Amino acid sequence: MSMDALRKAISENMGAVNVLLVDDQSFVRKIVKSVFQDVDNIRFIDAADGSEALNTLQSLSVDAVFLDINMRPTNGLEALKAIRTGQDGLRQDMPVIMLTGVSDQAAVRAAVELDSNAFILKPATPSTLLDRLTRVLSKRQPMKSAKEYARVQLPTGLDEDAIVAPRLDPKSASAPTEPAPIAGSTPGTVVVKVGIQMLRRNDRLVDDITTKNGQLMVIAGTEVDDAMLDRLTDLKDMVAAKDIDVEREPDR
Amino acid sequence: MMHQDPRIDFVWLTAMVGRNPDTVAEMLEEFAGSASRDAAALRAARTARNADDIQYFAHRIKGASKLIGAVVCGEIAEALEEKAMREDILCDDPGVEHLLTAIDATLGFIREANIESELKGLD
Repeated sequence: MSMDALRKAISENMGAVNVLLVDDQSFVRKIVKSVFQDVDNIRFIDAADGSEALNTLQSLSVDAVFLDINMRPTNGLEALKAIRTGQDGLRQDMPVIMLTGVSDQAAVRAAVELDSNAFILKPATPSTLLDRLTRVLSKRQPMKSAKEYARVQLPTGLDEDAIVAPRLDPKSASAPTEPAPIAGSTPGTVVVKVGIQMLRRNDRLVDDITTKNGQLMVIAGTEVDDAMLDRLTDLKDMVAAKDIDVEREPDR
Repeated sequence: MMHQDPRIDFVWLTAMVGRNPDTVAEMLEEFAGSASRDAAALRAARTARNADDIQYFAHRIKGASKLIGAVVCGEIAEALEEKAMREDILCDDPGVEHLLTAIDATLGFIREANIESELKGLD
């Protein structure tokens, strides 16, 4: 869809929308807002870090959040976890779009486990910003319990995430030139080798999905629901270039 | 050594903010202010030998540069950030000076840029 069409779709099909834009660089907030300057029904509210975002969410009505990951003093993952655990009465299913850079690969696993609704790989293009906002406002996503989200481990110190976050052995985790073995072939289960674009709802991952630098992104065994398909599509440029094995339910 | 071309990619920038010369000038001015502050913080981090801060400010400069279309500046910042993430970066790493030089060149270009002429050049 063209940008004008996306802008028109937002203007015509949605009521007034309050979007919380969280980034610790005022310049970045300003340029993101400029993308939406022709969309009359979107009102932006600024926050300069995760902590300010949480305070805003408690005091103002917000429909969706653009949330940067690497911020000081409170980063985006801490804020996302607070939202998903319903901290201080926050709306647990708040649609959240993570703004992430290729250097945030260690943080992506936690954001996926915290059911971030969407990802935008920076630098964001106008059409991506518009597309993701439209998507998260139009699709509700099932949530897990607050207790499950509370168990999600966050990388300690995003500046150092490449050092302290779980890092897989690149030899076993990501071998772009050497296809991973197909496993889990049992009667009644179809095992196929596909790229992300061919994953289907209810597929179950046989292998971990890793980022290009070997960080674990989605763990083997995860069922690929609609929301996960969307996330993986958002992050496709970050995923290690190898085929992904899935167990596929036979067509009924 | 990467070629330090300070130019702004006006095709990218106008795709982000539109072609109103006042808006383009305002965004470039905002970027210049942000990049100047981050460059000062990067210098301070180098003086204080704080590798975490070097990585953090390289990350900020990368993000802002790529968003505004300061492509080369963004690439140099990205290279420095990635190096800092891969290994214990030395605070006197030449990549820091390389980035500071690129920022200065970009800011100089922005100060001198004739926005209207740059926008006409896109036609």
